[in-house]
Amino acid sequence: MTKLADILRALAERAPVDDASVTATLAARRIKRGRRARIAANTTAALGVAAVIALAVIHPDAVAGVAALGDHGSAQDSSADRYPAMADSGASAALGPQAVCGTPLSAGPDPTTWTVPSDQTIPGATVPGLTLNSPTPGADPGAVLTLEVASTGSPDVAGQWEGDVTAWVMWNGYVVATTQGNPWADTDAGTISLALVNCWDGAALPAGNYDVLVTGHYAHSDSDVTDPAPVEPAAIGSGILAPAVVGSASDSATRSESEPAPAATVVYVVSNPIELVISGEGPDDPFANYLHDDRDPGGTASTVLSPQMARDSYARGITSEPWTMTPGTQRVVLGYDSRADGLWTSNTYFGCSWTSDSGSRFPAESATWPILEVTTVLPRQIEVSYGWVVDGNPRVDVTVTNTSSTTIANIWHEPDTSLVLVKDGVAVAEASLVNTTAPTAMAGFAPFTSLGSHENISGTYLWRDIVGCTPSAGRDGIQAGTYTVLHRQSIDVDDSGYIVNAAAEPVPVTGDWGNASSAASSSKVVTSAPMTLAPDMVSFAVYTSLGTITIT
Amino acid sequence: MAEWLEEMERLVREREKALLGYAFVVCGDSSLAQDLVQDALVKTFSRPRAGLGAAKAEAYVRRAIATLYVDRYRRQVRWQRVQHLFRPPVDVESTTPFSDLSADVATALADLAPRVRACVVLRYFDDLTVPDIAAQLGLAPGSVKRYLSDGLRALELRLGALDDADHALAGEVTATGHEGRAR
Repeated sequence: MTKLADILRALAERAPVDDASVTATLAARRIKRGRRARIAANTTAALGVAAVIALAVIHPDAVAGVAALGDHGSAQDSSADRYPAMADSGASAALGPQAVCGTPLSAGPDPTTWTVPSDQTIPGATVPGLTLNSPTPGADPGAVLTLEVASTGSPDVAGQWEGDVTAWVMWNGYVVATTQGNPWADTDAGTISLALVNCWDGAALPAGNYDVLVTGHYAHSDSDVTDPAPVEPAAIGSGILAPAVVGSASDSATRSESEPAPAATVVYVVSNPIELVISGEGPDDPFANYLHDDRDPGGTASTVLSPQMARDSYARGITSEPWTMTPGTQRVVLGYDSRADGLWTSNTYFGCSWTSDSGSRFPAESATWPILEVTTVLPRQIEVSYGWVVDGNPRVDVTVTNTSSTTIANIWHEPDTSLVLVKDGVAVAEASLVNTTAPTAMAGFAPFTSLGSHENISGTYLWRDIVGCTPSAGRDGIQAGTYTVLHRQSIDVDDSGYIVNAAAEPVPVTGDWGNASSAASSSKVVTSAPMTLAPDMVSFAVYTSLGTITIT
Repeated sequence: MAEWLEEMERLVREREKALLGYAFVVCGDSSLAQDLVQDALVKTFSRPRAGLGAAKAEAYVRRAIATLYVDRYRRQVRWQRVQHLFRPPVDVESTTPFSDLSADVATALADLAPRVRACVVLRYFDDLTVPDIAAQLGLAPGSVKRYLSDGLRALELRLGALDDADHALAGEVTATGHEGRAR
C-alpha cells in the first residue's frame, strides 16, 4: 500500500506548472498600492471622510449615462420604499445562497433573524460602504451596462478586496439577473459588465423599473483586530454610522505568532440599491413564467434555512426526555455552533469514541425537530466476521426528505451513510455504507445541492462492514445479538454569502466626493448603509431509528 | 529595499515551483494555481508581520492558498447554480503528461469537491489536525470530519487502500468509523 501523504507530495513535485509563474513585482505593486491607499485614507479620515468604495454605474454611452443621472436623494427614498427591510432601523435584509433567480431579497419570516449580536462586533474595525452614484441609468432591453468599480481609499481595506464582485438586478424584490466580475485584479479601479438579460434563459429583461445592487467582500485579517484601532469617526459626514464588523472564522486568541496565518474574517458589503429603468413598454407581470412556481399565493417565496432559524427551531424542540429509539422516531443533536465556543464535544455526538474503550450514550440534550424524514429498508439479519458483512453485502436504499417548510441549502447531494448500532442505549459499533457508483466527475457537477421543502436526496449503497466501538477488541469487537440501528444525517447550515445589515440605522448621506474616476463620479453620491457578513454556522446531526438488526 | 519586499522576492525566487506545486495539489489547475499563489503573496505580505522568516512566510502563503481556494469556491456556489444557463458545458481534459500514478492521483483529486479536496490536502500534505483545518477554512469540525471521510473513501476507490487513511481523524475526540475498518 501507499501513503496518501507521499502521493500528494509527489504530485506537488511533478505538478504541471512549468508554464505557470508568479511575479513578486506584480504582487509588490498591488501591496504598495494598498498601503498607499491606507495612508491616504487615514489622512482623509481625520477630515471626517469615510472609507468608501465608489461604484459608478454608467451607461456604455457616457454622455447618455451622465444625462440619465437623477436626483440621488429620491433614488435612496425609492430604494427604501422598495426594500424596507434594508432601510428600516432594527430590521435587516439578507442576500444569501438563496439569492439566485427568482428568489427574494428579503429572507426570513422574522426580521430580527439577521440582526447581529453586539458581542460579535470587532471594536475599532473599519468597514467601507459600497457607493453607487448613478441612480437612474436608462437602458434599452438587452443592453450591457458597465459597472465601474473604484476604490477611493480605505484604511484597512484598499488592496484587501478579494475576488469577484457580484451585481444583482432585482424586480419587485426578486433576483432576475446577476453577474460577477473582478475589478480588483491589478488596480484599484475597474469595471464589470452587466448584461441586462434574465438569469433563467438569457432573454432580455423587459421594459420596467429594476434595482441594481453590487456586493463585494474582503478579508479582514486578525491583525486588524489586535492592532491599534484606526481612528474612526462615530459619524461620517452628516451621519453615516460607523458600522460593526461581525464574526470571525478564526480563533486568533489561541494562536501563537509562530503558527501559520489564520483564516481571516471575511466581510461582505452590499451597496444600496439604485434604480435602473429599461425603456419601452413592458408587460404587467413580466416574470410570471419564471416566478410562478416560486411564489405562494401570498406572493412570497419559500425561505432558506438560516443558522438563526435553525437555532430557533432546535431550541423549540429541545427535550431532556431520554430517547427510547423506537423505530421511526428521531432526535436532532446540536453538534456545533459558531456562536457557542467549544460546543463540539463528545456530549454532542453519538457513536464510537476514539479516546474511550466504550461507545457513548445518547446526548442528554436533543430536540424533536421534524426537519427530515429518513426512509430505508434494512436487512433483518446479517452475518459478520472480523468486521466484514459476509453474506451478499446487502443493498440499502436511503432516501432523505426535507419535511420542513424551508429550503436546506448546501447539503451534500446524497444522503449520509453513517449508521450507529446501539445496544442498551450505548453505541457499540458503526457502519459506513458504501456507494455503489463511482465518484462523479466534477465537470459541471455540483456536489452540494439545495434541498427544497419536500424534496429528497437518495442513494443506493452496499453494507459491507461493521466497526466495533471497542478498539482493543479489534475488528471482531461486535458480538452476535440484536441491535438498534440509527442513521446519522448531518446538516450544516452556514451563511456563506448571507449579507447581514449590521448598521443600527442606515442614514443616507449626500456629498461631493470627487474621487471616483468616472465621469459620473463627479456628481453627488449616496453612500449605503454598510452591511457585513456574519460568518455564522451551525451543525446538526439527525439520528433516525431504523429498527433492529440481528447480527450472527 | 524594504524587508518584506526582499523576503517576498526571495520566497518567489527560491520556492516558486514548490508553491505552484502545492497550489496545484489544492486546486488541480495550473492556471488557477498561478492565480492562487499570486493572490496569496499579496494577502500574506500586505500587512507587516514581525519576524517573518523564510519558513514562516512560506507557511503563511500556503495557508492563504488553501483559504483563498475554498473562499473562491464559496463565492462561486451561487453563480454555479445559474451559470449553465449562459455557458455551454466544457469538458476539461488535462493535456499535461503525467506519470501513471500522478495521473491517477490528479484524476482522483479532481473528483473531490473543493472543500473535500482542501481538507484532504491540509490533513495529509500539511499534517493539520481536524480543529486546525476547521479553523483554517472556517468550517465546522464535524463538516471537516465528514469531508475527510468522504474524500478518503473516494480516493481509495480510485487509488486502492491507503496506508494512512485511518489517520484522518487521529487525535480527535470522536470518530466516524475509520478505525479498524475492514477491507
